[in-house]
Amino acid sequence: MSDALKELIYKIADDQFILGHRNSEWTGFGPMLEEDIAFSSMAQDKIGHSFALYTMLRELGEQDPDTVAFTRNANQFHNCIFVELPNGEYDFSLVRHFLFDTAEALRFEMLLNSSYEPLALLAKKIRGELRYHTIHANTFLKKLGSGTEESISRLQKSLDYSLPYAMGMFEPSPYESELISEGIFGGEEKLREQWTKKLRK
Amino acid sequence: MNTITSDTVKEWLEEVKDPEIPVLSLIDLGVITQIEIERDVVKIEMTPTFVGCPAMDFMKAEVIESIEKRGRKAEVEINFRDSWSSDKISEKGKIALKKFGLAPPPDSAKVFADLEILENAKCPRCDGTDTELRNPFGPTLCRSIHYCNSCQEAFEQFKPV
Amino acid sequence: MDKKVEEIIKQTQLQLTDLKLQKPVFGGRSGKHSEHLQPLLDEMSEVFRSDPSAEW
Repeated sequence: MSDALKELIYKIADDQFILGHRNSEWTGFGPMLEEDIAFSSMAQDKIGHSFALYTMLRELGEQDPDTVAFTRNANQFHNCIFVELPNGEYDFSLVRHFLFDTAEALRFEMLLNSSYEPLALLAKKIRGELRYHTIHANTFLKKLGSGTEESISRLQKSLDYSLPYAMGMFEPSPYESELISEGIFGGEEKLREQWTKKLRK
Repeated sequence: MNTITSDTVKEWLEEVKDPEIPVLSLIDLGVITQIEIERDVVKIEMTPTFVGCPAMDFMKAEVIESIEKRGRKAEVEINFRDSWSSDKISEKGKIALKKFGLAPPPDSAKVFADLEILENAKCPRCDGTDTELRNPFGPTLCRSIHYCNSCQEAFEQFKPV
Repeated sequence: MDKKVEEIIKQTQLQLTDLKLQKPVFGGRSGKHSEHLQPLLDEMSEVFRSDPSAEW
């Protein structure tokens, strides 16, 4: 169970860590001051979430959080490709934020029932914080998705470009059946279904 | 040495304030989740307001200092066993926040049920609710930015979470 | 509950193309990344690697 659990925590932590860094690249460059602050705050939240998860990994015998975060090479990271893509223009960053954080909120919702207690406790905490990330994403997607011809066509282009990468968030792990049968995590397939339902419902 | 109880330690910790909101003690903030005394060792459990709170190590060091200067040993553990919610802020703490000019957080359960609670935060100056949410993210992770149409001024709210 | 993404998209003028037609971009979970990750890691870890024993 330990390998399966570690792989699960690593991929969630790495997603937060890498997207947190991408978000931080908006600091000082946001299209307006409030968005600059929003992306910077979300960066801080996400790096904080990754730190809590790397700390959990240390309890499971991995190295300390700084070593894990700063000394691995790219091929040792488990994040999905979606989060590492460059920020591009604001439209892509917004669409990625919207698609990723919707999935992430659902992922932590599922983890509330994890049989691994530290993860369930942390999920309870993180879920409340992610609420603000999804509120933010929804607000701006609505504003710009029905704004001007240019804002709509930019978001549409970014949405079309993002979807294959977004589906990559649900890449199955070699340990899926173990995670599910041990009650640690309900699995990528279930997460993808819930996310899709959110998209399609 | 005199016998101490967890209430004694609570009194001591009244002097340790939130570094970002100096009118609020850690006790009133609700981040001290457990106090146990074992002989001359004070065992404390703390939990962060936000997971990414950068002030956590600083607050932990101040807690240890407050106990050690009274001749006791301190052991402080940070965990999520009893995780923080804005509902943990005491009534005294909420009054202090308002005086400080920060709107105290409404009941956190409402954030999941009704977004209006964020859209129409109560202005700490005039108590009016003719206000707008300007940004769910503010100068620190635990604050959001609002605008009061009556006062025609911006204010911050301690986020319900 | 979170507002459903579709509900949000419905309130915009954006179109959601059929997800079944999408070919997921996999690989990241097993360490096969795009060319963008390593430069990001190099930048992010620069300060740490310059002196791993440094204390704040």
